[in-house]
Amino acid sequence: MQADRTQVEEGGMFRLQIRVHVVGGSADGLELPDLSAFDVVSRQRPPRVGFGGMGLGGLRGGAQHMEVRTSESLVLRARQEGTYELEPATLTLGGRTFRSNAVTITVGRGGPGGARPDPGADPQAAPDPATQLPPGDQRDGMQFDPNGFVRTWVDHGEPYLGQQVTVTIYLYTRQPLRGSPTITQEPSTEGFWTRDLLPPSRTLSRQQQTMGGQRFHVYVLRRFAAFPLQTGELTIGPTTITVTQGGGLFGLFGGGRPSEPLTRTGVPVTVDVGELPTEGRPDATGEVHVGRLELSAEIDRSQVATGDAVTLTVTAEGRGPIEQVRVPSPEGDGLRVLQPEIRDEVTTPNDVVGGTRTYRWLIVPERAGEYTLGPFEVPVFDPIDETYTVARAEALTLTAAGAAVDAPADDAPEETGEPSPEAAERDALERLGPIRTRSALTRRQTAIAEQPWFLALLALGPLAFLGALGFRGARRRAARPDPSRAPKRARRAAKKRLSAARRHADADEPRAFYAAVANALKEVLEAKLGHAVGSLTYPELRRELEDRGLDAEAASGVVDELEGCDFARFSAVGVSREEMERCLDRTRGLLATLHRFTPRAEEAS
Amino acid sequence: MRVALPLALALLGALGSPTTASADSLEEIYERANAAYFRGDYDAAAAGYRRLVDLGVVDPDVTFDLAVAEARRGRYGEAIRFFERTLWLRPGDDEAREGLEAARDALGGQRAQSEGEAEVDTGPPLSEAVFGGIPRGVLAGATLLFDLALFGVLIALLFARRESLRLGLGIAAPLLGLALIVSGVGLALSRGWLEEGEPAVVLAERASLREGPDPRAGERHQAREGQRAWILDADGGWRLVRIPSVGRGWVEAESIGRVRPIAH
Repeated sequence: MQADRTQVEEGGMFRLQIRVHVVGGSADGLELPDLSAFDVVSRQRPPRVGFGGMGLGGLRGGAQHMEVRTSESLVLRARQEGTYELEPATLTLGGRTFRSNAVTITVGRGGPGGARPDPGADPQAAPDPATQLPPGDQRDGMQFDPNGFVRTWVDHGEPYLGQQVTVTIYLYTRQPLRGSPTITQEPSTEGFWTRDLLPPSRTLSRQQQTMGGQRFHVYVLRRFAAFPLQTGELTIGPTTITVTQGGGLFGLFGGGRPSEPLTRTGVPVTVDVGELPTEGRPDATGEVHVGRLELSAEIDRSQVATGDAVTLTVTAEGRGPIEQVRVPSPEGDGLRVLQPEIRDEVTTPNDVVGGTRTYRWLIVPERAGEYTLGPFEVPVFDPIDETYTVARAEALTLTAAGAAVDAPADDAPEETGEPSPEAAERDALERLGPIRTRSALTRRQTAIAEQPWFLALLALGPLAFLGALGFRGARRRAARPDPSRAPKRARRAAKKRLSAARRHADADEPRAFYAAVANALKEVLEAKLGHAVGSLTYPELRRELEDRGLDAEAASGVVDELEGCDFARFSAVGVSREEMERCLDRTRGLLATLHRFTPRAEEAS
Repeated sequence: MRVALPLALALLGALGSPTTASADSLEEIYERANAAYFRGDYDAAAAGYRRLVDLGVVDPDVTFDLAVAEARRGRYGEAIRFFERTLWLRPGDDEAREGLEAARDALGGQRAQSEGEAEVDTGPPLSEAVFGGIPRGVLAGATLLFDLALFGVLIALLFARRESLRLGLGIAAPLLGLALIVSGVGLALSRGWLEEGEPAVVLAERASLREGPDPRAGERHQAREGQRAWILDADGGWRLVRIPSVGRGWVEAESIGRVRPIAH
């Protein structure tokens, strides 16, 4: 027997665990020590787990064929300051009595950390449920397998009828999962009303825990709240999973070679559901909400003309199976109360099911007068404190003024003022419209969005836009000057200019001839030098040509020819045909020199 | 010869006469179902309308009539299912919407008679609440129109030179983009492209949601007639369904009915 701590503050909780290891016998005769000084918050008695021929040793020692392990796990809350000696637990087996060790618990006065907790705060809600793993030194709810196993963990072994039991299905593996396990058999929950606590789609999160000296990767497969609907022993059935993982599946559970997908099945877990205590029960036969509950009531108008409807809203908010809460209908002589509209909003903060249930009644006062609606009461049992209370919403007053109206005969029987369900159904059917007597009897209806051309037309816009983008880009590229191709273009242009100059010479047009020659030279120079030369003086041009690698003779020849062209263009009188022919020859020679010329970069020069 | 001729004629007649199902034209089946309804024979009327549905008729007027006939028979789950189908085929059909509410109210009244109080699903799903009144063809056409207009404007923006024209196109482009997003989302919602599973309605008074597709599997939840469900998977005569506020589990196929016709 051991406690997870031996010093607690008033109101603080601790876990007491009694482990029994029997070889060749039963552990049914286990006697717990006197725990009357503590509140038993929860008690878990997992099923027995047998191991065959494992030679683990037991109370009698020595290897046997069958061993039984079981443990009692209790969560206790300290009531009062003091030192408490817990007597040893005993087990009578075959006429012999075996005794455990004793445990001493010291309860200190409640300090900052030992104040009595909020009675509504469930102990299981305190740790973060997403990261809390069951104890690694217990082996309940599972068939331990050093290679991997499924474990079913319930947080309450002995809940009350209607009290939430949180069930978590874990998968323990030796290696991290590389695929998703498939649950081939869900845990059965006969006798429970359940609600999933995990979102439908989620990523498996991994934790690690050491058990039996081996480190396991632990995955939460399922977590749900189960509310017992009947007393006695109820069983959470075993879960079966199949793990498929491409290639080395066997390695997942510690083996080394590839194998078929592996299957693991958990063990059933039984909880012992107790009746609600009779002591202090407000209504011995009526329904009791198990958990916490607060009621509030409001009415949209407190004064109304006779025959007008008001809306009464009663809201129940709390923890527990909130969708099962029944709020009594308001009654009153002279009131017509219609069927309520009920809305549920269920939440699961910290995996504790709760939320709000809202009843909304339409109430029609049929006579003038003052009516009292309520009070509204629901008996509540708090399983933590083990006390009964009554959730209550105070009565409201409704004043109706004006002449009385006749109640519809169908809807408001005199004795209750409520519309009868038969009348409600009949009224609803009367609202049904007549059938339609003409129909196109359409046999096939293919929606526009499912026509093959719809997607094609939808894609047309984006495709056309992409095409336009491409076209614009190509056009821009074509328009952009390309320095690497400039000399070729200039050479072709110069050739054309010289042809034009030849025609001008033939036509005896010296001005036009020299202009064409000068332009041919300038175009080639600009293409070679990479900038315009019109703004340069001839000495500057000569210097640049020499600086960028053209030999001095050629540079002088170019500049002299340009100067000669300028001179001849402005004093062309008397220029002979022979002179123009010579000029053409010189220019061809200069252009050939320039074509071979590769200027140095400007910075280098 | 005196014997052979009648025999041949009889044989020809037997070969040439179609079966009863195919002999009746759709119009005749419809007329007979309407006549059955007006003489108060709702079972025959519902059978006639259902036969049309089985023969591939997906007309909202037929599904409306079938829903009304089922409601008259007290089969409110079926009525809700076919009113929902009518609204799927013809969004914005006010009579079908009112019929759906009436069927739900009637189901509530029926349940209240046996249980003292009743709770039934109310209200349309989000997609119907926002875009329910707009026919899907209009949404599809609008999506197409806005798509072409938006990209036409963008193309024009690439080549337009005049500043005033560029300003106008620059204002039009984001507006058209917004309109395209709204109509596209509306189309996706109304087509159910964003839903997980096929919408359906629980038909059985109490449908057990089991842990597996087997009658021996444990019961996890119970669904009630008229509740909306989404079919996620199928295995033989079983369907895996998700029911909001209840959970998921396997139900027998007869306990649940698809809202949308299978042809869709």
